[in-house]
Parts: sequence; C-alpha cells; structure tokens
Amino acid sequence: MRLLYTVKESPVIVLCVGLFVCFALWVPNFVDGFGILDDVKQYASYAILAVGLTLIIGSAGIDISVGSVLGFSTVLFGCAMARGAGLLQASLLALFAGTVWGAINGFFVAKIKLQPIVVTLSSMAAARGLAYVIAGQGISSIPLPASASGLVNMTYGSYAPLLLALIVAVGGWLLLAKTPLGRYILAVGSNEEAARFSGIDVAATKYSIYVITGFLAGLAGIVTAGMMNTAITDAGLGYEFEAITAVLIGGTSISGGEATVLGSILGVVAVSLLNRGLGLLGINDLELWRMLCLGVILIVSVLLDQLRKRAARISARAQAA
Amino acid sequence: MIKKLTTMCAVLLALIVALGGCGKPEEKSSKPGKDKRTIVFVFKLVGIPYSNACRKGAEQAAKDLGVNVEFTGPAKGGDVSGQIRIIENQISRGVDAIVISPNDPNSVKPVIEKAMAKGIKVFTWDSDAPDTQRIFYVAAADDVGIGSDIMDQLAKDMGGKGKVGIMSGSQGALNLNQHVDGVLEALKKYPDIKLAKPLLYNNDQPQLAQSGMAGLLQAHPDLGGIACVSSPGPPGAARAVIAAGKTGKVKIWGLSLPSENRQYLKDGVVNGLILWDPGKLTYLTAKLVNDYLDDIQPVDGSVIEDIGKLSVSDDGVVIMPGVVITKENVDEFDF
Amino acid sequence: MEVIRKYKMPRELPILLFLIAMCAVLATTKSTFLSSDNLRAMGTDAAGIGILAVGMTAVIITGGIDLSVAAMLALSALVGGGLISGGQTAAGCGATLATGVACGAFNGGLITLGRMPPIIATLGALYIIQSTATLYSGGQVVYIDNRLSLLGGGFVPLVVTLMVFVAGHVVMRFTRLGRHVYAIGGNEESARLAGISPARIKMAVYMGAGLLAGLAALVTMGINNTFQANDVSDYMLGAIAAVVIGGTSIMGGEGSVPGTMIGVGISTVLRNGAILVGLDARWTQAVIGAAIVIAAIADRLRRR
Repeated sequence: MRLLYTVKESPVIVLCVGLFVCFALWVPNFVDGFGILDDVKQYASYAILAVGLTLIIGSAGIDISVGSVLGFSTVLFGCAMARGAGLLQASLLALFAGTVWGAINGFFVAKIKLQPIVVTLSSMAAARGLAYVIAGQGISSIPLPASASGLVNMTYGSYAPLLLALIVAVGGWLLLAKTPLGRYILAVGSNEEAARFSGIDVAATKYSIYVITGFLAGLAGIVTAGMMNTAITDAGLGYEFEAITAVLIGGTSISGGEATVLGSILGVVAVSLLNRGLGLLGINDLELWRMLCLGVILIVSVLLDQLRKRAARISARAQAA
Repeated sequence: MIKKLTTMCAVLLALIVALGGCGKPEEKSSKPGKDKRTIVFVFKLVGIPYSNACRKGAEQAAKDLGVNVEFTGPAKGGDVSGQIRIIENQISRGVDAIVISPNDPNSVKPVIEKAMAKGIKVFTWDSDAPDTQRIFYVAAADDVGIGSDIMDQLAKDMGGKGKVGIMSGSQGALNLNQHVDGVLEALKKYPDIKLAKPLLYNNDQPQLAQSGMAGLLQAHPDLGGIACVSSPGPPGAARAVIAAGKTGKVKIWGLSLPSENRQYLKDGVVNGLILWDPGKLTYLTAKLVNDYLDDIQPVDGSVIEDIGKLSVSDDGVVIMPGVVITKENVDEFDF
Repeated sequence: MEVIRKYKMPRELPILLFLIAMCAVLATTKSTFLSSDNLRAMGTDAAGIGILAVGMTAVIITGGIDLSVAAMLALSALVGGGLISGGQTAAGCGATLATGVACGAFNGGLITLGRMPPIIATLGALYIIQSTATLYSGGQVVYIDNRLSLLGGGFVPLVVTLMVFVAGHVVMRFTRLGRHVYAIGGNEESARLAGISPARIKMAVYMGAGLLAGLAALVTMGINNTFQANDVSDYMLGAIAAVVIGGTSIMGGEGSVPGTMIGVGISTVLRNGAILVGLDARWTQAVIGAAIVIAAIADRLRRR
C-alpha cells in the first residue's frame, strides 16, 4: 500500500494497469501479445524523444524542436541514401545533423542564456523549413533505395525499434540515476542558483542535455525513415506535444528537479494502449476521441500525482509524530 | 491514516473507471468479421469538410449494402505515422477490408503487404499507392491531371496570356505537390502566361490563404489569375481579390468544395472549381470493394446509377467522372 | 543630470528598431509595401493572432502559459457561429464570447483549484477543447452569411486589434489588476504576503484570455465569413511567438503589451515581406526562425 505514494511512478503505473484492465474487459481482441507489441512499436520514436525530453524537462527547460529535428534528420538520411551513400554513412550523417541542432539549441540556451522555449520555437521553424529546402521544391517524400532494405526490414519487420527504445531508456535511466551529470541535471532543475553556488557548471550541464536530445531526435529520425520506408519532409510534425504529454503523464515535473525516465516510458505505453484500445473499438473519427481522452488522462494523472504527494506528506508527518 | 488511504484508493479506482468510460462511446461494432462484414476507410485527415463528405458516402453505403462500413483517419494533416498506426490497429482487429487514402504512397507499402499476408484485402481510393499490393484504386481523376485541368480552365479564362500565381496547402503534402506539378506542366503549353513567384502555401489556414494572396497582388499588380490546389485557396483568394477591388480582373480556379465558394462563384469572383462528389466517390468505392469481396470485379465501361460510366485500366485504376463547377451548376451540389 | 541617470532604455526599443529597420528596407525596395491595400491586408492578417496575443501576454506575465488559445477560438467560433448562421446574430455573438470565457474559466479552475502547472492544464485543455470543437461541429463548415461582415471588412480588423492592444496596455499599466498581475508573476509568495490573492488574479487572467479568444473568433468569422474547426491551428504558436519576440519573459513578472504588439508586427511584416520580395516559401520558415532568435538576442543585450 505504501508503494502507492512512495513510488514516484505510481500514478502512471496505476494508469497503465487501469487502461489495460478496462480495455481487456471491454474490448474484444485487445489482449493479443504481438498485436499489443505491434501497436506499442508505432510509438518507438516517441519513446526515444521522450527520454531526451525527460532530461530537459528535469532541468526545468523545454524543447519543442524535437519533432522538426527528427524531420530534418529523416530528410537528410533519405537524401544521402538516394544519392548513393551507404546505410552507415547516411545514419552517421543523420545522427550528426540531429546533434548539431541540439548543439545550436544548447548554445543559445546555455551560453547566450535565451529562454528555452524561444530558442526551440525558432529551431522548430528553422529545422522544418530547411528540411523542405534540402528535399527540394515540391518534394514531400524521398523513397529509400534498395540499399536501405536492411534498415526497413529491421525497423518495420522486427521489434528492433522497441529494443532500441528500451536501450535508450536504460541509458537515460543510468545517466539520470547513476552519473554526476544526472545529479547536476536535477540540481539545475530544482534550483539553478543553488546549483551554481555548489560548483556545478550549469552552462555545460544544460548544453550537454540539449546535445543528447538532438542526437536522440536524429536517432528517432532514422527509425522513422525505416518504419515509413521513405523519408518524409513532414516526419515528426506535432510529435513534440505528444512526447511532452507522455513525459508529463509519467510524473516528470514541468518545473524541473524531478524526473523519471521509467515514468516517461510508461507514459508512452499508456498513450499507445489508449491508441490500441480505442482503435479496436471501431469508432468513427477515433483520433478525435483519442485526443479528448489524452487531455483527460494528462489532467487526471497530474491530479493523481498531487494526491500521491499529499499522501506521502501525511504519512511522513504521521511517522514523525 | 488507513481511512485516508482507503479514500485515496477509492478515488483512484473511480478515476480509472471514469477513464475507461471514455473509451466506450458508440460501442457498436466491437466484433468485426464475425457476424457482419467490416470495411474500414482510412482517410488522410478527419474533421474537415472533405473527409466529412466522404464519411457520409461511407455511411450511406453501410445502409445500402448491409455491411459495416467505418470511416477514420488521423486528426492532424499530413500525419503519415499516425495513419500507419491506425492501419496497424485495423490489422490487429482483423477487419475484412481496408481502404486507404494514403498520406504518402511509399510509407504504406510495408503495412499493405502485412495486411494482405493476413488475408485482409487492401484497396486505395482518393489517393493511390502504386507499386504496392493494393488490389485496385478508385479515383475521380489522377492527382497530376487535376492540376493541369485547373491550369487549362484558367488559361481559357485568361485568354491565354498574363501572369498566373499558384497557391497550395502544406509544403509536405504529396497530392498537393502533384497538383502543383500538374499546373506547372500545363503552364508550358501557354508561352504567353508567365508564372508569378513565389508559390504560395496557406498551410490549410484560411487566414494565410487570404493574406498570402493579398501579398501576391501587391508583388504582382498585373496578376491575371491564380490556380489554387487545396480547398482553403479559392475562398481565401476571393476575399483578397474583393478587398483589393480586383473582382473579375484576377481569375480564380481551383480545387475546393462548392459550399465554401457558392457566393463567390455567383458573384463572379471565383470562376470555377474542378471537383467530384467525395461522398459519391466513397460510396462507389465501398460498393466496388463489397462486390470484390463477393468475387465480382469492377468492369470497364460499366454505368453506375447516379455516378456515370467507369473506366477501369489494367493497373487496377478505376476512374469515376469528375465535374467542373461554375456559377451555372453550383446549386446542384450540396456538399 | 538626475533626469539622464534615471532614464532607462525602454524595454521595447531594440525590437522596435528591428521592426522599423525591416519596414524601412521593404518600403524602399518595394513601393507597394506602404500602399493602403497592403497595410489593410497586413492589418487583417494580424488581427486574430494579435487579439489572442494580448491575452497571452497577461497569462505569461503571471508566470503561466496558455496552449489552448487557438482551440478556445475554434470552439467559441463554432458554438456562436451556429447561432449566427441561424439568424440569431446578437445571441450568437454573446454565445461566442461566453464560450471563450467558459473555456478560460476551465483553465483557470484547473490551475487555481486543481493547483496544476499552467502548461499541463492548458495542454490538457488544448486536447479536450480542440477535439470537442471538431466533434461538436462534426467537421462541418459554419457559414454566417455576411452577418459579421461589419467586423471583417476594410481596416476594421486592424482597428479592433489596436483597440484591444490599447485596452490591454491600460489594464496592465494603470489598474490595480494589472499591477497585481505583475506582482504575482514576479514573486507569488511575496504578492500573497502583500495581501493579493493569486488565485483570483489568475482566474481573471485566464478568463480574460478566453474572452479575447472569443473576440478573436468573432473577428476571424467576420473576415472569413465561414469557420471550420481546423482553421486556426497555427495561431497558438503564432501568439506565443509574438509575445516572446516582444520581450515578455516566460518566467513571468516582466513584459508588456506594446512589446507584444511589436512582436505581432514583426511576424506579420515578415510573412508579407517574404511574398513581396518573392522569397521561396521553403526559406520563409527558416527566416522566421532566425528572426525570433535575433529579436531574443537583441532583448538579451538590452538587459546587459
């Protein structure tokens, strides 16, 4: 019972279990192992972005450019493949491009000290615009050549994206929980001034998480290209808000200082379970109902988190007395 | 203490049940394939007038054919992965047939293969995905052809000379880019018509359609016409032309719904629209798909009541006749 | 001496110079830039986002944010537009504004009673209100048969927007409410100790943002004569961009309505100028992105 309020992720766990049980009871065909995996796999790129966003939101920042950076890397990847680059070269290029966008964001946030939302709002516009520029006038997607079939088979044909998202998540968890950088991130997030006085290099901390997130957006871009079998100029459009939603559902505090990678991943799982459950019901305009439910879930999960914190405080007080 | 915790658990439980309740609206067709045949249409984007008209056709077909016909799609424009997600979802649901209007033809290739391998029949309508395993494609015209039709009509009204602008929706949308290609292709036939740059993109926002056109009128005061390839284009361009007092001087042709342009057509601001009835297109598709599931193939030259003569080509493309809408016939259309 | 020492550079000066420089370049290279036709077109273009941005400014000064403004606009337009198209123009206008206020109250309630961070509350509200708007309208277009053409023709949208800016500036600068908004944005705890009720002020600010979304809905319907649920989905980021270009700090406590007005001006002139000079649309987004950063750097330099 204590676990309900001592474990940070309890609201999102309750949410996932609740959604699963409800759908399993009410929706025929819901419980089908591979079917569920297939549907969760559609959210692999979101999960990868969510790990980066967890770090950034944990440091009290925000990055709304991830969707556009994903799109930019996808397009660059596709262009490179179409021009005859090898899979490895093109992948490195895409990862590099994502990292560069992250470094640009990080530079303006950490060094020039602009507000993160301002910086990433402009890189959101700029990265999307430049993706259109690289793709060329009137090109909406660049089909991947046969040399990319390995990637397509791996990302579309197997559960490799899930595995990759899992690896990224474990990496993010290790970084946050077990490394000095992780401690710095949370220290910067909870009180930047105090962190500075305790000798933390705030600028370097911030810079590095935007770079990491840019790199992850590049990685998600390659996964997206593979899963779509083509490099789409509009790839990642609007991902930022759904990924941020998943992070917030997961219990990472928007004001920084408290972050959980596990929670964010469970947030993505909750969103994908919702998608599957509503999809199987066979509702017209199901996306609209999905959005409606997403809004309700976001609000409810934050309210649940407040209940949890209150209960934790009450119990702590009871123990003290 | 225990009391408080119990209350908290009760609240949690209540919230979960409430949440589960969200997922329960219209639980009408939860058992696909068992008692009734289920055909699912997956459009590019729901919640816009065009998809709405399509949905009405699907609902009518459900009534007339006595099968389940559902209509769905992503909630935001150009959402390629959202569309794939929905198709995956329908595959694991095990429906009988999926009809797709793909946001991107390459992206649906693997998912179509997967569906066909599981015995689900896949078709396309409205927009095609050639080079995939889709069984047939039902359309009113091909995407490039629509663009060149618009340009041809515009050139006729402009007397074969002058400056012409182009307005599209979003820069990433494939069908719109193909319409633009069609316009540019047809433009080559008219040496005395010059292209007014830049190409306008309204991002499917009426305000941008209007302000973009207003800007183009300032940049090219001698503009003679505009070809609009997405639906907010013609009404937005019309408002800008009226505001600039250039009604009649700037010809407007485009792809749009008659209901959005009725008054502008009658006032002579918008010269004409190239379109088809999306409801009829979807109805026809549902009928042809249902026939196919009963082992009846579409036949070239067959005449369908209320729709007209179909043309069926070897590569599985079924074309239904489109319409040109001008002020003379606009009142015949109610969508 | 005293006067000079006390003189502080107005916070809006750097971005104002930036806007003036852009206009000067456009006016000298393109003769049509300052034509009345073009000014009217820009005024019409700026109206919807401009009106939303005034509400957004107050919200951001309290240290909050409102991601649901465009969704509120859409829902109020569809609710009110339904009545207007049925001939009940006055009732419809009332319903439009009332829906906006109700949506704002929903946000305010979540934030004050539910104690939720504004970004989460309004992100949730964005999903809920936008999908409700689309479901409510069934994806149909609402036609209002020129019943609001008074609001949408000629320079009227620009004049209405300027009036909203003036009113917003007066409220924020010269009323007690405005001072309290700055106070709770600067330091909520000390504002509370000074006897201000942050909950009441925030409620008022979010309801005000809702009211302005309703007003923006009326003007937008007046301009377009039709409305459809997805018509304004770009407006949310547009309004936020205008406010932050205008030098309002996302941390709250500082910023101004005139700054936002300049921010709206910059983005409107950029869009218009890009077409006048024939800039390829693919580059326009990149240029807008760069302009936001330049404006932010200019503002940053002023603070040093």
